[in-house]
Amino acid sequence: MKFSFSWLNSYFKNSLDIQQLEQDLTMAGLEVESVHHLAENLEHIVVGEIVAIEKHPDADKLNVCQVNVGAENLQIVCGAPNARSGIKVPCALIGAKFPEFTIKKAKLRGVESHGMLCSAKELNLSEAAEGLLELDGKLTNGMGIVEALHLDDAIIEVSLTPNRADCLSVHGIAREVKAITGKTFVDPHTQITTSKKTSFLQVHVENNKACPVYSCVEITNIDNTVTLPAEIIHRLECAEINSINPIVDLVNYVMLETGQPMHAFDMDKIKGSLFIRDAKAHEKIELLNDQTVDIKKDDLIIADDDGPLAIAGVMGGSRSSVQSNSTRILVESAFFTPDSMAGKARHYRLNTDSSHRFERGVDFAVTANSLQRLVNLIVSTCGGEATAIHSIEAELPQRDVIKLNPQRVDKILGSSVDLNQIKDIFSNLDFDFKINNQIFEVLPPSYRFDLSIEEDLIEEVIRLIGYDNIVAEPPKAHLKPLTYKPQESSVNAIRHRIAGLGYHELVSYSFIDQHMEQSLHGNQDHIVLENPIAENMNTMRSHLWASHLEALQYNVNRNQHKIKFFEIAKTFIKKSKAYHEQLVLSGLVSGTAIEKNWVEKNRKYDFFDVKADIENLLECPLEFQTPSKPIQLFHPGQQAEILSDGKVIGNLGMLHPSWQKSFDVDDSVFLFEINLDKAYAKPINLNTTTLKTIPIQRDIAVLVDRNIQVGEVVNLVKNANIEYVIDFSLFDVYQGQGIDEDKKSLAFLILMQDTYKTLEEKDVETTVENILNLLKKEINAVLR
Amino acid sequence: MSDLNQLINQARDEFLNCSKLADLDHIKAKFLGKTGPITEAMKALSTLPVEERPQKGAEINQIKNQIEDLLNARKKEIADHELNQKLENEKIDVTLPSRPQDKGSLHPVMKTIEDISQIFHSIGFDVTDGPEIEDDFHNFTALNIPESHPARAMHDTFYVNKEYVLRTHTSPVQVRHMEENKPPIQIISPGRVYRVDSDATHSPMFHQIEGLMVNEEVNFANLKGIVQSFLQCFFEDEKLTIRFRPSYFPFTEPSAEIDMSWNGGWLEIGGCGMIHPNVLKHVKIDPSQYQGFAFGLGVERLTMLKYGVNDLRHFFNHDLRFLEQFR
Repeated sequence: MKFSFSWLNSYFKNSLDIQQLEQDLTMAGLEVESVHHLAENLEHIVVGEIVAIEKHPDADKLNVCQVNVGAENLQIVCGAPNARSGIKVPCALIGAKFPEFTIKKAKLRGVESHGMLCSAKELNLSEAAEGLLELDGKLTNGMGIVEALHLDDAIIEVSLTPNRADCLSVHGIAREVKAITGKTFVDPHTQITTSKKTSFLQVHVENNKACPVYSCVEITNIDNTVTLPAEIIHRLECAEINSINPIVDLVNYVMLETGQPMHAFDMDKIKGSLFIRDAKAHEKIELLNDQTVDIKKDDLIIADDDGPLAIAGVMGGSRSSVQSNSTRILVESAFFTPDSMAGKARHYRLNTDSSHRFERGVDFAVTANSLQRLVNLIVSTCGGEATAIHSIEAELPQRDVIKLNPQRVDKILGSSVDLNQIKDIFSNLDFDFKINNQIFEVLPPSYRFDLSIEEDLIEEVIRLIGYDNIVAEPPKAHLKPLTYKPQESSVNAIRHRIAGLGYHELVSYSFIDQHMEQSLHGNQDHIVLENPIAENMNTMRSHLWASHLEALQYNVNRNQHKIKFFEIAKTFIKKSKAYHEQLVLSGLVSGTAIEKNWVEKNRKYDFFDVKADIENLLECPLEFQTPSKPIQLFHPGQQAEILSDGKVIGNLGMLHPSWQKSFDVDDSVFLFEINLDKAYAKPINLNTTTLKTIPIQRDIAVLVDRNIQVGEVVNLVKNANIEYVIDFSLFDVYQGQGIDEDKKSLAFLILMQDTYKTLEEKDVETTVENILNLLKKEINAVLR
Repeated sequence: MSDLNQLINQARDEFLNCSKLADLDHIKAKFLGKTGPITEAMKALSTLPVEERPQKGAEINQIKNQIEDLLNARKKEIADHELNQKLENEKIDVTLPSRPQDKGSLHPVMKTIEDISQIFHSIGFDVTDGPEIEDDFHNFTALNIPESHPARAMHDTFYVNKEYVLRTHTSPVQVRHMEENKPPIQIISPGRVYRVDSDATHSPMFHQIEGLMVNEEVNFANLKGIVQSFLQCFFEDEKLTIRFRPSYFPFTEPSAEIDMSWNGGWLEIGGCGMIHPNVLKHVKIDPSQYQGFAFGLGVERLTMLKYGVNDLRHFFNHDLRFLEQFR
């Protein structure tokens, strides 16, 4: 909320200090976002009248003006095109300070000049410089410009939390300032005169639950073309409320003053009686902002015999709007309950000053008073005759007594608060309270919708004592070791390990383009957001690949050719109607593995670079196999499932060349993903018997069919549990010259060992024989 | 005898003229070998009268020893020289670039999360997690934000459907944890949160850290103590101070904004407060017996301050030139 500082000041006998006010409000929970001083350094600028003007003898564009500034005439050289005799303009005297210069006696092309005539821009009142600022001719020459233009003021912007609707008015802020500072508070508008004239209009409140008070006044013979007093215009400008016409402006003005939203209808446009009722199905209204909306059934509206006139508490309709030629008006002031207003404006995608206040709670005790204040203001400015207030009242909200035990204040705050201090605070807040057996019994004021339980009162106490006065103190604790959670430490360990392997950690958005989710991730049953921030960020991702490919493209376009990314994040899938989240580690590798250098040969990354990284990364032993159901995103011949303990925990593959082309990258791209919920290390079965015998090593080379996978061969031997064999691993693959086209040669290293004795040659021979026989039998392998 | 003495000078000269260990052995044979002058002289001893033999023998031995000493000294000289030669030859240019290697990095925001988790872990806070697609109840209702509460509008919520949202804060984790655990409770929960907001200072996805402590006595002064000592630890600045400013969150009462002293002013870095009794009631913890505090900190803001990052967008545009600075 923005308001004029001088307006607030008018509530206090002794003027407020603006810096202190800023501090006080902020530290009491009403955060001052900004203070904008309207006039700074305008001390030596006064109203001046150009009494004579003649051309400068030596400069075409300059004039020599004689300017009356009250006591004397000054000669001032001026270049503004609108300078002419008879106008009054701001005149900077010698000594006036501007950001870049100070006015001094000077000679301009040989002619003496004793000051400067100013534009609005030079006074910091406008962005544009459109010649001299022409002032009201009635102003006295020599009067300070600050006084003349009401510039001795500042605009204060307070950011209010939704619980403090009571401060959505200058009166409310003033009340709060009084509570914080204890300063004497004077309500400047206590004098209320009333009329005895009665109303002609029939008013029917059909839903008095949603509208417990409805008050209105008819005013006839108004002149809605008058000029409002400068003070009111200034205060509305400070609050950034656009001027419409005098009646509407005054309605807004009194709302700013009292916090009571009101509405004015053109009486001549109201047909028959007035109804405060729930909307029927299919009712429509054209609103003041020219938008036509379908009114939600059962929303409270103001209607006449012809239908809706206003959406109650939100916005009026254009049919009955007050125009400059209106002469008979009806002014309404009501209490619409926060419950009935909750979410109402948002349904129409509106947030008006009125709905903003009503949904947070408007003081139900001042409905009629605020109306009377408005009526008096209208009659005194626009003329006319008003009726007495016509009020229809049902049951008003009841405030329950809240009990506060001072001991509980101490317990919650961890600081001792004196009973008398609480008393003073409650008095300053105008709370109605008594003390019974050391317990406070508080009846909150009608404008405080945020107070209902003991904790709310504790907050009031500490808010006004000052949060700064609570001394920070470390909590006492009963020490107990935390349960060890392998997942948690594992995730960070993995992050550090993979960064050590040269990967850069990314943080990418969890939402991606729907088309990417469908085509790239192959997920048809995807999760779409109802209100995405952008169309290409509308779908929750089931893999991180699309995001990482985008990151790849971004960096390749910036001439990066060595790319290794990783990210640990949740992925999202829909299963029946529930949403499942999985924590995955995902990575992307592309480009130069070994750049040009003086030691070794340069080359690009390949599948086995990435496979090695993955094996290095996790604590659990892994296996890789060709998947039974290939992933479409990957090259059909270069992809693997990653297994741990027999279960698939992830995938690794080369991006399909057609996708690679569509992302416009030259180098092969490798992607992998590991489901971390499944990849935690199980307790290891440690081999604790260190054998003293010496292992024997033999190499064999066999010819097998080309399509046989090495993993198959190794598993075959390992699973056969052949005596003495402790390891069987591949060290060379060869296919090509000297070997049939459908064959390949595999060279293995066999490691053999016995527990008790060093193996003899015949044992070794038998073992190798056994292996060869097995391979011959199972995969038709032939010793080379 | 003078012949033999002559021999020492001759050996010295020949040893000195030799510069290879292998050649030295040949020269050694020439003087000390089986047919060499020393051996010959020894053999000739038998031709001398018996009484002269011991003295003459001793003399020969002395000469032999001297020659051997000269030989060994020369051997060492040559070996030393050869080693020095080898060392000289093996000298490398240590300023040559190292073997090509991959250098990775950790994302600054994730580093911050890890640092914060470690600090709180060190004082006995468990780290917990919750879903990012959250139901309306846990994100709002259980946190005392009923349907149509004006505070909901402040959250700029992403909706998955009527019932599910992308969590707008990490606070629902409090609720989930308290539903399943009895006090005493002390947890923190870092993670991603989402708001429909995107400009130079807002990202539609960002990170928060939620802290929660519940027991029979933990109070507002303790909340201040924890937050202050955490920030001092995180920014490695003992003099850092904080300021609590009254604010409003539906799930805490009293509530406060946390401001931190920074470059002579105050910077807002999070919100906190004593857990609202309605929240405790929702998770069946008796508010007359237990009390607690909760706080939420913006991870990006802390990260920007700690590393001097001036633009939020650096965190999410994946530019390697930015990322590789964080080792």
